[in-house]
Amino acid sequence: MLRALVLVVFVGSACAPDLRVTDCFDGICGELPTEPLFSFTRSEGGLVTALVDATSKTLPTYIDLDEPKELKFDEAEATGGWELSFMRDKIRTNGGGTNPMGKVEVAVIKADFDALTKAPATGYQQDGAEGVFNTVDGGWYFYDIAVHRLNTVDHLYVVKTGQGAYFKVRMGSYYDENGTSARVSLRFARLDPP
Amino acid sequence: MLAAVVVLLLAQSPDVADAGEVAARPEGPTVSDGGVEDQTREAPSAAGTASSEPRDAGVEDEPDRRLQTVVTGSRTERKLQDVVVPTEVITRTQIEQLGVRDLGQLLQQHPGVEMVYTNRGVGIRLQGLDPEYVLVLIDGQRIAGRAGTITDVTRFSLRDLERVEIVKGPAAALYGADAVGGVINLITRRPQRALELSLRAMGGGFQNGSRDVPLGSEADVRAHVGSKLGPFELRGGAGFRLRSPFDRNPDNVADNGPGIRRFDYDVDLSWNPSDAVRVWSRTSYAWTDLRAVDESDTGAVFNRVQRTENVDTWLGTRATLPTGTVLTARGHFGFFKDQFLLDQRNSRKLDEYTQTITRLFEGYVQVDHRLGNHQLTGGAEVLSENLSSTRLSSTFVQRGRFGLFVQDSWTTSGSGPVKLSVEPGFRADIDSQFGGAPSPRLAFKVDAGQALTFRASWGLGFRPPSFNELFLQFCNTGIGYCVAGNAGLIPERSGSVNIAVDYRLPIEGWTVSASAWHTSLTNLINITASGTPNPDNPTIFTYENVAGAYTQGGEVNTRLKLSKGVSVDLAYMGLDARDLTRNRPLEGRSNHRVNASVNMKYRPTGLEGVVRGTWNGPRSFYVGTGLGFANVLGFGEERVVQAPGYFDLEVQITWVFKPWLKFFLNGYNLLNAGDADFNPRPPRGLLGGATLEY
Repeated sequence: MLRALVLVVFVGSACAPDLRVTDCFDGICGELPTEPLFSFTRSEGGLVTALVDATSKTLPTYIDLDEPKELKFDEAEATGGWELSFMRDKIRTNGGGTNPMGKVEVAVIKADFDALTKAPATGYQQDGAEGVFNTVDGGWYFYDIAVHRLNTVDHLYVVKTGQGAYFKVRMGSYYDENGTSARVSLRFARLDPP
Repeated sequence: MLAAVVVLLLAQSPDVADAGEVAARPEGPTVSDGGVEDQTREAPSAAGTASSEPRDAGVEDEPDRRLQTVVTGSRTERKLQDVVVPTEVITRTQIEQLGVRDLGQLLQQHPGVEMVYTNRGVGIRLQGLDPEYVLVLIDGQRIAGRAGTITDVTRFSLRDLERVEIVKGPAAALYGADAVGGVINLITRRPQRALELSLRAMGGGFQNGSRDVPLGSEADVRAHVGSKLGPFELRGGAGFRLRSPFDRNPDNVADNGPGIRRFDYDVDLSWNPSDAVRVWSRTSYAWTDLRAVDESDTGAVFNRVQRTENVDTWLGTRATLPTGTVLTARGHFGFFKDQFLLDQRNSRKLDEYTQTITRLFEGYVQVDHRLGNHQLTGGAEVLSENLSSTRLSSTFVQRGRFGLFVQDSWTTSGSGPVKLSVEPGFRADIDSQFGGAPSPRLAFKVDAGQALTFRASWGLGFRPPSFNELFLQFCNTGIGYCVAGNAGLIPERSGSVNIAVDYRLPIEGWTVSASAWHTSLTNLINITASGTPNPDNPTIFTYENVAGAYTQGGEVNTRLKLSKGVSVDLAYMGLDARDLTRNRPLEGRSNHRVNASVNMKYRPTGLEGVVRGTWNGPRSFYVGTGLGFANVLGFGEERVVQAPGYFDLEVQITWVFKPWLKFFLNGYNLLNAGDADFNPRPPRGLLGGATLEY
């Protein structure tokens, strides 16, 4: 009996299982499939509703609006075939700033997204030290410091690609449906040239 | 083992005629801080004469409180009437009468004690000082494991306790670090018979945020076995508790209090080859799961789980030499493992898992010697603490501390009506991180006849920065902030003055006590915001020794024994606690607090009742940039929110069906005080159960 007692006291102690085993994340134990960094749905009329995973603090997520598709870092560097990159709240274009070889330009306008079918002829600019998306007209969001929440503003961006195509872009939420920050949603569609 | 217990139980079961005497028999000695036998129950007292009561005397009278032995204030055993430092006691009889499930519920309405509810447990605030300034001990010994800065008092079941001693005010001269606001000392029971057995089971429900939300539920089962056979004593106990989470705001999915699942056990063994020698060991283990749902401002929903394990093992010996000198030595190993898992629903992005392990090694020797009118106590304590955590800047940190203490309790031998006792004490601690910390205390007591006692004390104390404050390094991605420790922190220092007067009215059982205190804190460790907020890391918090504060106030307590079965306790506490850095009241404290308790016993039916009520005045909270980031220096605007006062009402009814069988009903928080933001306490609930004692 004494042995049993000693066993219970000393061996039985500090033996609670690891929480990652008893309370697996989302009920799935072990490795989970990697979520894509870019997903989209295309509606009639060419409207694309996309979700960009910009949660990494070190690697941007590169998006090619033409396809549309995500480009890995090496591919983006090698081909330059991307228009927008997302890293947390920072949005850069493939033109100006740290990408002087890129040709992408952006115009920031006030217009109704659905009503706009033709790209404006003027008003385009390239990134400087900061991106156009983050600086022009106060940037694409305002930050509510009282609740630490980022809210998008009603800007409409017209992106001119290196190939001369035009896209209208409207930023959606900085948060996905699960409340994760830097999971950025946006809508974009091809425009007729000016 | 269980079979042997049952056989012994059947063989020794008392017949009905004996039952009353068994229940009324004075309980035996307890293990005190120094390991010296507690003689309280051998002193003549109401309990000691209770065996002459009629057979239904399962309802015991309370012993004369002044003859109660206490140990916390001096680290040696004294009668309550002799202690120089005021000590409050909650006896086993009171614990049973209240029928509460854990230490938190027991102290919830104790005069001068405030509860601090957090996500990671319930802490105790004494004299307006937060839980990190309150030391919780078991038999005078430290225990491992603070969740953050809080020792969760709900983790202590009352199954194995003989009494709870509360010393308010500085006690660093004896106990060293953290004993700034006071000490809560849990004194365990010792078996007295060949077989002792108790079993308590309770269950019930509580109301959630609205009538549309299902009721919460809870259950608690505890068992206790003790045996004294010759020189050996064995005592063991185990308990299991379940409680569902509670939600005060049904408009969102977040809980306001976690669900609890706890399993614990403890085993005590002792060997007493003679009256002069005692060797004992004690091991306790507790496994607690806390589960709740959180929701961030961004709408992310998290399943939060915290799993803690506590293991504490003590080994000690006490020897009384022929000269009367008492030597005590003991060692303690404490292990605390804290797992924290945050599971964002439907996403892995904000998932988080951290594990923190704390190990505490403690060695302690104490010598007590009487020299004429002087009771001398001295000792040494060595402590080593290490912590490994994924949340620290360095995954493994360690520190050690060595303390020497000495105290002289000198009582004048004058034969007049006035008796003076003086108790100077001094403790010096040397810490491997921040160097020396002297903690002197001077206390004295004046007895002016039988009716009036005056006590006063002055003392210094300190609180070293916690491991978290020194080395923490983590980001809460869910809410969106980072916390960085500061290895350059130095200890907080305190200076306190306490005075108290006890007056025993010329009516039996009527007493009035009044006390006042002032505590000033310097080098207060405060959270400071650094860096400009941005969407990625909205705020970076760090710790600095920048603040100063004081708390001061007074308490008045009265106890009125209205008749043989009815007594009333009334108490008032006035508090002025101020943050000197920001020149404003300290957050979350009521300036006024009133306690009332009515205890009733009706012997013919075996009914006992306790009604406890506490009114807490309004409290100020400072809401900064984001709820919960208040009290942060150097960052943004704050607004003051005045949380309304609230009344906490609790009723306990016990029916002593047989001296060995009691049924009880406990209604707590009957006025459903509390809210989601500033007072996240369990809502109105009802518990029912039974206690079987042999």
